[in-house]
Amino acid sequence: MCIAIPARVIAVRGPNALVERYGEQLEVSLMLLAEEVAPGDYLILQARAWAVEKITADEAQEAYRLFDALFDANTQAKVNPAIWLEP
Amino acid sequence: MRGWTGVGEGRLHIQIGIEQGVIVKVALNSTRPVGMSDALTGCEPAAIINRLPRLFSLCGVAQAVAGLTAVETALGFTPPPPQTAARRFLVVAEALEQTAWQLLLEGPRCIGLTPAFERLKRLRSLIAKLCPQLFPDPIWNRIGGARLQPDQAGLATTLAEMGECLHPAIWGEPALGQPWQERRDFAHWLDQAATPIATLLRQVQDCGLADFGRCATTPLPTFDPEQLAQRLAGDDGQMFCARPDWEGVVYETGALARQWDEPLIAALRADHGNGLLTRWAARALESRALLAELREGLHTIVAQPGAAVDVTATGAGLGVVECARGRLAHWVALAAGQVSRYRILAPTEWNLHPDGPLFQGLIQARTGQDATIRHAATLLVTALDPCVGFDLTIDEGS
Repeated sequence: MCIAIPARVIAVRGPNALVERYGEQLEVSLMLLAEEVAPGDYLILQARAWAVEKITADEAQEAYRLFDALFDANTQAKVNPAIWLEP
Repeated sequence: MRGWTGVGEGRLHIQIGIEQGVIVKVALNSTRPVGMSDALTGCEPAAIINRLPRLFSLCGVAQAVAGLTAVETALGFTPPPPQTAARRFLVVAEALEQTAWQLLLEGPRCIGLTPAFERLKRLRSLIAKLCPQLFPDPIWNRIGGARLQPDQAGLATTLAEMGECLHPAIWGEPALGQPWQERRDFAHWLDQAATPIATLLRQVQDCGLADFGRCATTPLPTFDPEQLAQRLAGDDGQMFCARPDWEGVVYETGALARQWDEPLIAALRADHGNGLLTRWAARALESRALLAELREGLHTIVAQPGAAVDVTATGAGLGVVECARGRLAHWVALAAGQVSRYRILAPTEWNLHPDGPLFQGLIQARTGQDATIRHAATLLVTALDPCVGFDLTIDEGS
């Protein structure tokens, strides 16, 4: 499922932005966003590459609280395992 | 935000092994977190409905409607038809946006074209106008229904503008005819049209990839609600939610499954099965069908105040929604006003199932002479539209 972890804008670089979430930095496109974006803003991403929504800091903090709880309950050991299949 | 370094929505890692031009090995490795729904246990129903659109980035409206339906069913409440129609309207609009995303952004990128950013941005801004034109208050996803006061004239104008934005970007000039029914008209359009999806389909055809990804997987049949509820209720380890089957069979869901029996798609299937040409053509047809559903749905939405619902009841309920990527199901059990169990069956789990259409479409596949496996596989994965990004690794020495 496509979970929506907010990303904080570190820098705006023309049509792109450098964002960070949970210690991971990503370069994302702002091409589909209607609003102006500045460092410190929070964005929702699609496919880790496209900013699709700007949200408030309060909404981001609420989302982080949800995802903290989620990741506490779902450590990385609980992701889908690799599957090798042959005919 | 605590120190879970590098966690995220996960990614799909696809490894392909090739021998003599034929794919002989396929590995699907997903790092998408599972057990999302466990985080909802113990919550009050209203809190869950508020949270669902915030948890999911791609199909937040569909997730919210599936959740609302499940919770209201568990509470013994049946929403009035206008509320159901208005929610469906928003789900369809969201599906249209995601379909346009595939046709104007992801598809073009697969073949090296510049995405139609401005067109997609314009469509997104129009779609964003629909919810406040239906529900004047900020919260539309309320148990019992929110105050529904449709601005019929405004909605009709927005829909007309959406059509004017999308139709030329997908089908091109009106002079190219109506290629979405007859095979002959489609072939003529394919020869003439210059839109991104026409260019993609022409390339698929010319590179000998029309049949690539063809497999025996068929559309997900209609669920028996009681049977599905039983499967989800008994899914302790979430294995059904992670790798679903229906009576032992793995199906596909999404645009092609919905357009399966349309005359053009049936004709294309006769020649190319569910290969790339049929899949991407179905995606184009889907955009037209969704826009038509919005136009028709508008007439069933009338003013309705919403209702107060006692949320302290005990019970269980199922909510099933057809959304952009296919059929989504939520199941909830409530005990004295709190969630005792929540399960979500997402459409991607069917399409990326280890025995599903991606695996079956790739294994034993070979490309046409003017295409590479990487290009063909990328087109297939993109057509199946997983809800996370993907990496493709090809081992030509296996």
